[in-house]
Amino acid sequence: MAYKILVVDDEPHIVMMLEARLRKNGFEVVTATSGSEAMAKVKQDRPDLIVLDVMMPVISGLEVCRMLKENPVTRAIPVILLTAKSTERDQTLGISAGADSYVTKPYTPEELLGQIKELLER
Amino acid sequence: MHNSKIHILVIEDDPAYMNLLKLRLAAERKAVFSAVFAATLQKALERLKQEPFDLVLLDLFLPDSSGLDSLEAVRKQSPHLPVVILTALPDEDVGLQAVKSGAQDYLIKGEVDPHMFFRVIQYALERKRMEAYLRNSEERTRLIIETANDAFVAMDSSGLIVEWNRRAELMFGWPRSSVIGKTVADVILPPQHREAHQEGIKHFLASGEGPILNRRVELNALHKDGREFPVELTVWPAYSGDEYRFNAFIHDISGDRKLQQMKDEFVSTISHELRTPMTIIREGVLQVLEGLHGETTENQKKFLTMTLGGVDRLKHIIDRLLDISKLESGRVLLDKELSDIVQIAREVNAAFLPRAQAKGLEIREIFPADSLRVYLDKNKMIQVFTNLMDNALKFTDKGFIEVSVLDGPQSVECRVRDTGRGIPKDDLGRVFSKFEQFDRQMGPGEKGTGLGLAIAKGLVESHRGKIKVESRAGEGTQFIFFLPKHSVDDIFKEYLARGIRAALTEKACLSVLLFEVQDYDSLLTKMAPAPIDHLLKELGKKLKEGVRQRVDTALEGGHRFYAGLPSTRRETADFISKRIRQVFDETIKKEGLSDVVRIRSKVIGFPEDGHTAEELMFLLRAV
Repeated sequence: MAYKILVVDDEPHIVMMLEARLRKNGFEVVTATSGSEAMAKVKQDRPDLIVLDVMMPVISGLEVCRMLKENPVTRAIPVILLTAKSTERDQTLGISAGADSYVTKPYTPEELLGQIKELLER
Repeated sequence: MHNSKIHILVIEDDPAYMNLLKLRLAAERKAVFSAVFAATLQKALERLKQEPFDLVLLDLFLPDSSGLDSLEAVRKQSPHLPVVILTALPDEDVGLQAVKSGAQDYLIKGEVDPHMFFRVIQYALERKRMEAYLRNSEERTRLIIETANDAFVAMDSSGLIVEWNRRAELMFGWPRSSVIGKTVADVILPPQHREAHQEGIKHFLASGEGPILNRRVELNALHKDGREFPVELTVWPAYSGDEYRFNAFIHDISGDRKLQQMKDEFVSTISHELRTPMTIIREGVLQVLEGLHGETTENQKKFLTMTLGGVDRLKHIIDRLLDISKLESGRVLLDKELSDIVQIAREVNAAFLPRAQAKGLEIREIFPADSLRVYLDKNKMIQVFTNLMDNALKFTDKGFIEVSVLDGPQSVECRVRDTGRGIPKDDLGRVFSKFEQFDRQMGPGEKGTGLGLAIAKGLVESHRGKIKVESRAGEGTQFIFFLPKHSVDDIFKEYLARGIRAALTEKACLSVLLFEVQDYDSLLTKMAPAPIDHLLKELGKKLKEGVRQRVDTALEGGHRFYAGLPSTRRETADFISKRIRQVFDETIKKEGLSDVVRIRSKVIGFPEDGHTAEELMFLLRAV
């Protein structure tokens, strides 16, 4: 049974690319382009892992992450934060929001897939 | 003088003498005089009001006034006119009195020969001119200082303020009357600078040396309302009479700092903004290249690969931009740990070997010490060596590149020397500045951002080190940098000092933990170092993991481990300490060293246990 990954980014092109990449690697993919859509899809599709962009309007990725980690039902789903920002402060913020990992753009496919594999194997 | 005639007002009531003067003045060949005669003071004062004169000849004994009263009246009426007194009395005292009261000179009637007459008038005119000039000059200088856009503050050799211009009043908030006579230290220096200031003055007066004199110095100054603000100043000593005076122009740079900050944020924001479109381009191209979206021809693959190369170069440039903006704004957080710098140099050399060989160049290594452990950020140091090597390779076409790492008492000295093109003398000063890429004749594909050396300098300096370059055009170049050898205790003390300051401003507390392998030195005599080293590395890792949840600091130096926990109360810190102790003990057990290795741990809190970094360090280390 293939793992299901939820990809969330407000940039539709990034979503498309991630989807293509993940599908090629045998994952099932669901997508969302906003924080609220993401929360709905989590409930509806029960993904095994979430790749979440940090910089999103209205509800940021950090907030989504925090909400997911505070909810006992969704706490166990691994979250990888994807972002253009790479300062130490941003990393700390990500960690304190409960993210399981942090990948900066532009990511190499190996980097992202590596993180996904590692988190799913835990 | 008008029309180059010297226009004189003669105030003389004796008609005989008047005539004599008329003749004298007319006969004078060296200058042309035009004279107006007045027989009473009243008439004279009226004439003074009516027209401009160059000089006044005044008989002290007039019908309507006598003695120095006449002089006073004339001077009151025309304070800028030179006055020469005429007196019948062969009395020097009267004359001298007159000069003291403001006359330029005096002539005794009957004793004056024509030459003297002329000379006295000339001198009187000249002296008056000099006085006016000096007064103007002083006025002008004073005006310059008073209206200068920078604060001007002068201090005598005992540290008291003797000058304070308008801008100083505005900049520091103190009116002139409040500060004259007070010390510079008390008025404008924040407490942390005061001692160094007094020492500096003493040192200069004793030795003539003044390290902060005659150069631009940046420091924090104190405003009347208590806040500190950054200033740039230049102090220079002036010796006059028998006293030293220190003059300073002070410039408020809080605006500059703000501007710099805004610029850095701008660069940072833009660089980040560029990353998303870069990701799209890169991923898109990569996916097509990999065949994710259908077969591609060889030719298409070729061009897509080129495109990918372009994106990677773009990423490289943006990363460098971010590096440099972080370095400039002081936002580089060094992840320092004890690392073998010789090993780092070796790694970088190995990475560059293929490229060097392709160019027919040799890489030589001079490592007298096989390994040298220094407290530094490993990744940043790799970057420094990489940038220097990269630069050397770019500009060397034959010969070798020599890398040395030498141990010194206070610091480690590293060199990267090449036999390349060299740098012309005029360009040496610009080597470390951003975007200065002189000599564009590099090999094909050897383009760069020009930031490599600037970044290397920034990184070395953020380690409190120094870097310099020596070069001769045509002979080669050598980069030398020094890294100070800090003990982990020094580093932690620095961290503590910062942490305490932060805790003070946030009105929070700070806890620190120490874990120490007991009797480390005797342990080394009993066992081989390798398993101990390995254990220490493991413990270091565990410590870092143990405190990762918070924005904490974990430092390891050999057999001592420190952790700083901001905003953490003693109780919580005790709890964390116990937890880490447990993890340590488990690790030691796993390595099979439970019999020989014992850990001592200590927890100290600010402000309960101490108020300064010294106090806390002392308590931590005390058994």
